[in-house]
Amino acid sequence: MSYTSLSFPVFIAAFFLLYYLLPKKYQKWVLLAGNYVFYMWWRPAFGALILAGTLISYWAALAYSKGALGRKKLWITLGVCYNLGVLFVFKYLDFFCSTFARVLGLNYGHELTLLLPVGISFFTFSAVGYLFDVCKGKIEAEKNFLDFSVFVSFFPTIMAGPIGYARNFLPQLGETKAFDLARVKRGILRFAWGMVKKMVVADTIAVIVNTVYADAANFSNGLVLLAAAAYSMQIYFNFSAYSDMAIGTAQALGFSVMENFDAPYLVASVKDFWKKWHISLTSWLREYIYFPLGGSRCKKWRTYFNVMVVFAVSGLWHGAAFSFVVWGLLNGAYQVIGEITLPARKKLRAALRVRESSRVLWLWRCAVTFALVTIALVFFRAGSVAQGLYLVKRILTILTDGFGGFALGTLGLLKRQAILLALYTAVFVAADIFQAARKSLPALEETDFAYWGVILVLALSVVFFGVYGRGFNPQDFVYFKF
Amino acid sequence: MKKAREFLAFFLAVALFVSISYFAGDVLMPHRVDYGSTWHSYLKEDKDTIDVLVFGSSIAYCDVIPAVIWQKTGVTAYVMGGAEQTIPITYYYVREACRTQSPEAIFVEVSGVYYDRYEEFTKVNVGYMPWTANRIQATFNTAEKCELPGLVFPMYNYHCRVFQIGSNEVGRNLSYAPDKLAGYTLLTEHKAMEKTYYRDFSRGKADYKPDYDRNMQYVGKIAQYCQDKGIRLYLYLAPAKEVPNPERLKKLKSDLLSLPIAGYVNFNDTLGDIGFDDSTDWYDTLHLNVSGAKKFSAYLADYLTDTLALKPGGRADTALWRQRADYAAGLSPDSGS
Repeated sequence: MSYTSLSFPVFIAAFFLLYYLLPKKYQKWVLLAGNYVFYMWWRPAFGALILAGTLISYWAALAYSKGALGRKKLWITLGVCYNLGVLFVFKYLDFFCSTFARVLGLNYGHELTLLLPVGISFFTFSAVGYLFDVCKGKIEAEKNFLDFSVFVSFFPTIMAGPIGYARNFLPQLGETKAFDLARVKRGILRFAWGMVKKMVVADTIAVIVNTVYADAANFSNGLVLLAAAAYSMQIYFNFSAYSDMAIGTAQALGFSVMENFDAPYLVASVKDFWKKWHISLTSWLREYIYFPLGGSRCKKWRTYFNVMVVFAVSGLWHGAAFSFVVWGLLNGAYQVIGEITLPARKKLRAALRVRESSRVLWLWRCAVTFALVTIALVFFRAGSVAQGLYLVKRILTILTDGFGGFALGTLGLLKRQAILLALYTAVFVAADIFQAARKSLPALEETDFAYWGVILVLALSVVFFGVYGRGFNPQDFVYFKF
Repeated sequence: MKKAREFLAFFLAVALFVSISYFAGDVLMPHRVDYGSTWHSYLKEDKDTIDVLVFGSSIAYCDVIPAVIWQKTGVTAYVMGGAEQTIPITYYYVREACRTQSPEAIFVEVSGVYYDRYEEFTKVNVGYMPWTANRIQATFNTAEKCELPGLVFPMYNYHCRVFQIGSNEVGRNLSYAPDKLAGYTLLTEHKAMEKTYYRDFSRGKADYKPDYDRNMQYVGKIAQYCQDKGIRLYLYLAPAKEVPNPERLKKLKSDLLSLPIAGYVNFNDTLGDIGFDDSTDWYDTLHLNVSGAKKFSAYLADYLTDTLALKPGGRADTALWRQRADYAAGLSPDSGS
């Protein structure tokens, strides 16, 4: 089941009623049942996977805290190895086997390909993060199995994040959640906002991207560039939309979940970009890989190495393919090169009498950052390193051969569709600008007619302009594949 | 007070959402005035003015020209068929059509008893029905699962047209007029026919499985409905160059005659009397073109009055039917479909 499937409204309506109407002592049980129903709707057998991971992580943390058999770290190691082992088997085994086979010149027919459980990368990292936190003393091992099970299987975030931190989530289970109309309305608004972002904007942009990427050789350099930029917008709107819906649903249930995006394209460097993009993953990698490696508290070259390792892992986390590793390494390289060249760039700006606080400089740096991120994302989308290199070469060829025309009518959108897309994109970009400027919005949930009027407009936007149903090819949430 | 305002705002939003969505669904559906399921036009007929209703698949709406029947006999007829319509859907069509008309007789073309449970045009057959409890029943009793979202919420099927539809079509969708052809669909091309074949109802579908028993069950329901309403029910097989094999025909006749119906007629037994010209009157092996349909309709007109002793109800709008008759008289294979 996903947020945009037809079964979700039926599920969430029934779930909400049970969650808030049944006696409070059953609330966590209802939540647990809802979590498993939501996940198992797709493949019932994979409920066993979540349950197994929950049991092992729970016992491992308790065994660690009790020092069972006189060994403490062994239990954490076993728990972490189990979780990462399951992730490896389902996600990376085939990739590594085919790579080794290619290197050694052996025949390998992808016999070890397994159906990838949706959200495995997310709930695995949540469980592993919990074990690390117990080991480091940041949190006590959770004794209440029900609470821990709810944390691991929490349905709003299990499929595509934000990655949950036990130390933030488990304390919230300490009290039952009374129905709070303002909070529920806030959650519904956030959810509806995300729904429009995904179904009207991201999925329509996907038409352009898919059209060009499917047959790039027959499109001009300019349109390949446009499709690359469009993909940067598509993946942002797609993924941030899922986060909106996850956060909104969690909010309506009385839970606070970390923000995952903070206007990431309105930044002046790739380093800043990664502070505002997929924040939960970046935080996890920083806390559990970057800092243990030494972070930035070591020699410069070691710091650069640490950055490259983190982003190589990030690339691999996203997918078992070299194109994702290249994407990750590029992002790491951008930051390393950015750090190395920073003094020289500052000197240059001083020589040119460009003030560091200049608005024009900031806009220029945003544009450069967007371009760098877009080039890296070409590999993310391309599906293979060779295809990625081909597309990047086509884009760079603009410098010598020009754009080669912008036949916008060939991008797969009708004229009205394209105009509407531009309007809706402008609204969401404006919202990001507002957010970046840290302007607080009026508390719409405190109103009645204004609130429900906005919900009506958002709902009708999805109904009229959303990509769903007959005649359309609705896109999966991009991060479901991870 | 605050709670009351909240509830009012919520229910107003829901009411507006439903109204706007369903109105838009109706406007965005492609304009439909032929090839069956022409409910918008049908509902523009004056109440209780039709003497004979004809139902079935495209074989019904391509073969019967009501204006020819009226011209000959004064009996008003209307064809309310649907493309590849299954018998269960026909049952709900009969019920729906009889909400606004009180026919003396109903004709149902029954080659649909050999159809699969689901054919290709459920979306159109059910989707164009007016919003009544009968349509809801038709949706859940006859439509395949994948069609349900679009039939319950038409915007699911048609919202993409918001990017294509022009103001002309919107205008036409908001103002249907009575059908000049009273449900008939004009076919002008012809294909010379040499002989008659036994019909392959599978049409090449590998998973074809005729839902004969269930379809017969629904024929029974149609029969019962007509009996309860005091309507004479005639089941028929249209003239065709592809017919069920003798074994099937024998069983069909036996099964149909066991139902409480007024009669069963296989018009393939009277092809000679109808007087078709096999080189000019057929559109394909199953459908007549306009010349063939005129001949069959004229034959049917005589059959209604001479054999079945049907009389005109005398309730029709003569001016409208005169218009229809004049229009039909001008139709020929050169008219262009």
